Amino acid sequence: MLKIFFISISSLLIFTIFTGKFFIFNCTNSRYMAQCGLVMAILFALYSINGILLAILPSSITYKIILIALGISPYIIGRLATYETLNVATFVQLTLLLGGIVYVIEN
Amino acid sequence: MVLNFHFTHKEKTNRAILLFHGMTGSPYELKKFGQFLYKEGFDVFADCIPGHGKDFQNILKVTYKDWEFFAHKSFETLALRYDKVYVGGLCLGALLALSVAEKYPQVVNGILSLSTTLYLDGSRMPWYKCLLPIGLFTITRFFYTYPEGEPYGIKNEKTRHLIKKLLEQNNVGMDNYPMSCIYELCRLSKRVQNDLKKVTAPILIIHSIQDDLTSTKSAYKVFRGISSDNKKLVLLKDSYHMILYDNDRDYVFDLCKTFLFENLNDTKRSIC
Repeated sequence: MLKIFFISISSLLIFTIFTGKFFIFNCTNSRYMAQCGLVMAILFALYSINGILLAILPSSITYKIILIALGISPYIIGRLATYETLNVATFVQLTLLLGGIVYVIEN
Repeated sequence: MVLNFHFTHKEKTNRAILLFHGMTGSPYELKKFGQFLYKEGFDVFADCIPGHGKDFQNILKVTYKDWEFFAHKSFETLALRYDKVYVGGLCLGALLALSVAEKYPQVVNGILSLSTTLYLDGSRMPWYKCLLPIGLFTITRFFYTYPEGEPYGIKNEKTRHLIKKLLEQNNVGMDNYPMSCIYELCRLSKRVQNDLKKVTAPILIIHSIQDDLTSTKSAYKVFRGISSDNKKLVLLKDSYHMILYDNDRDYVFDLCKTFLFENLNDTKRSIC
């Protein structure tokens, strides 16, 4: 159940970041931007909680470490990101989200 | 529209005041206050903080270090030209004034700290403010922007209406708060709080108990944290955040004037 939830949240995050970056955040209406940003923040919170919960469940050490790393990765990437490196940071974030989905499905 | 202003007297005066505007604002919000101080005999200077001004998109590119560098440089320039230099600001500007006072404790002659924003804990903050840390520390901060709306930090309805019109017609300020800007404000707040003890100059802190952006906790934190012997905290009862435009405006102007004149006799301190 938690795995399905993790995959769903990750997929929603990918969708939100992608559509947000290329469509919503280019519009001039700050209310749309605010709502999309709020959704993104909620999804990031759920993603982290879910990743940590999955790591708590009985599993191998490698699995636990990777899930915790994935769970806290948004904060590390966000902390290191600057306006100039935003595209790279977004790409890394999307890759990790996608990688997380693949890893959870295979394990 | 020219946003920066330098009000200088034709006859040389030995006292100047450097003002800093608030987050996503412009020197325009300080103009009336600047004119008032000018009439009282001060040369008054207010320039746009980096990232603010004509192209507000630049706000996403600057950090709090750019703001501090700008504030320190502006102060150094004035300190070399005038015997007595005061610093003051509203909201983010108050933090910059404190930053200057921390770096040059022996040079600043007085500080006007108005609606100091150390914490974003006012009543205007949205219900989902608990998500703020997630927004700040993920890439969301480059995307999210909090739309400015009623009451625009102003209690007086007539003034509020005027400001609303002005924001719609002219480029005098932003109608939203980008999260990256809030992030930099929080970092600056943390930096300033760490060095509050270095502030020794006379200070006047004015804050409204109805401030909708930041509660009086910020004002008390500054008041208790600084080392100044001459410090005064005044709490207003009939204003929101923009105290220089609200119901208590005249009272604020008078308080500032009295404070500045009380500290005119302080001995000149050198920047070197």
